[in-house]
Amino acid sequence: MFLDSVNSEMVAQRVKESSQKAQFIQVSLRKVALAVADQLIGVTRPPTGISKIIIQPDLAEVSRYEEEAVNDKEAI
Amino acid sequence: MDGNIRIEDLEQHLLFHKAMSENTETYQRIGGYMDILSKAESGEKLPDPVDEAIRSVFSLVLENGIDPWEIDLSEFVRLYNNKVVADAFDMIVAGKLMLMAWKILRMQSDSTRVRSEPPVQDFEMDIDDSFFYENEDDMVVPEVVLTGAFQKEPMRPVTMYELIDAFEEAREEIEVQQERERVRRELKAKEPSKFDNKAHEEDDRRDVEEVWERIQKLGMGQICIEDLYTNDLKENLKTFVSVLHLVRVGRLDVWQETLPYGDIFVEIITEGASGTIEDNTGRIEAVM
Repeated sequence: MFLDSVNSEMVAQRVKESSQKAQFIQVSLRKVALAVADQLIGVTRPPTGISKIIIQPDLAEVSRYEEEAVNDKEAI
Repeated sequence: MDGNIRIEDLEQHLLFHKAMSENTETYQRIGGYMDILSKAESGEKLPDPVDEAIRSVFSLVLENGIDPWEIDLSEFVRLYNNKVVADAFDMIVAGKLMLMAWKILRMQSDSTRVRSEPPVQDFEMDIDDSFFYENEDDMVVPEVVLTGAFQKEPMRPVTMYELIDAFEEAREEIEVQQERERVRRELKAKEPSKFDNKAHEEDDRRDVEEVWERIQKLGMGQICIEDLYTNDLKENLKTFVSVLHLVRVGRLDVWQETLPYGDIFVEIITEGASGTIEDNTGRIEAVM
């Protein structure tokens, strides 16, 4: 049982607004929710049974760097 | 203001013209109008003063034998048009007045036709060749004179002030239109998104396959996840989530030397894979 994208996005926006006053950890794989997250912590369990953890801080910032890099390359 | 006041106004108007009359005929005619008007005061009166004034004037023609051409129906139309524009008219009274106006117009038409008809010529039995030529001098020219009652406003050149005013009105109208369009766009932007627009946007299974193909194209060996990133946030999210799925099904290995800011590396697992993505599709599902 999970929310549809529209409501999932509304929840994410509400959490984003409230994050000005408090910290939140939200468990989700919905991209509409991940898009507004400050940090992504990926937890997955491979067949070996030992969980792997990766952290991607501020993916939006990374996307902006990539865009600047593309623009710089085009300028050159 | 009530109906009596308007009748008094009418009396004052007639008195003024009676005093200004230059010949006896006009003097007597206006005097007759005043007599009729004084007799008419005792009859039924309409509540609206304008209606009552119009009815009184029409009654002068319909009930008291005044020349219908003494009534300027165009003035009546102008007066009543103002009331219609102001939406201050009684439909029943308006209908009655229209009927009276129609009767007066009919009387005007009849009188015009009578005046315009040539006099009946005596029938002559002994018609000779010069008959038509002899009567040519007796041809009667109609006495119809077009008055303001059915003349249209003549065209005239447009003044500069009117032209500027028209431009100004057009400019204001454009501004209003643009403002409406802006508000409409704002309201549309505030409308909640419809469910069916986004319901099927996310397809994790397809995303995972796409990312898997991209990783395979980069070849074996460790790959920094940033090499898979683009300038599109949604694409990067897709990559990040898909890597987690691919690790779970045993196709990829993932690690990060330093948390949280270290580079994330992925590598294709060629041996020891415990299953395929098809075997685990039921487990690839999104959660809130």
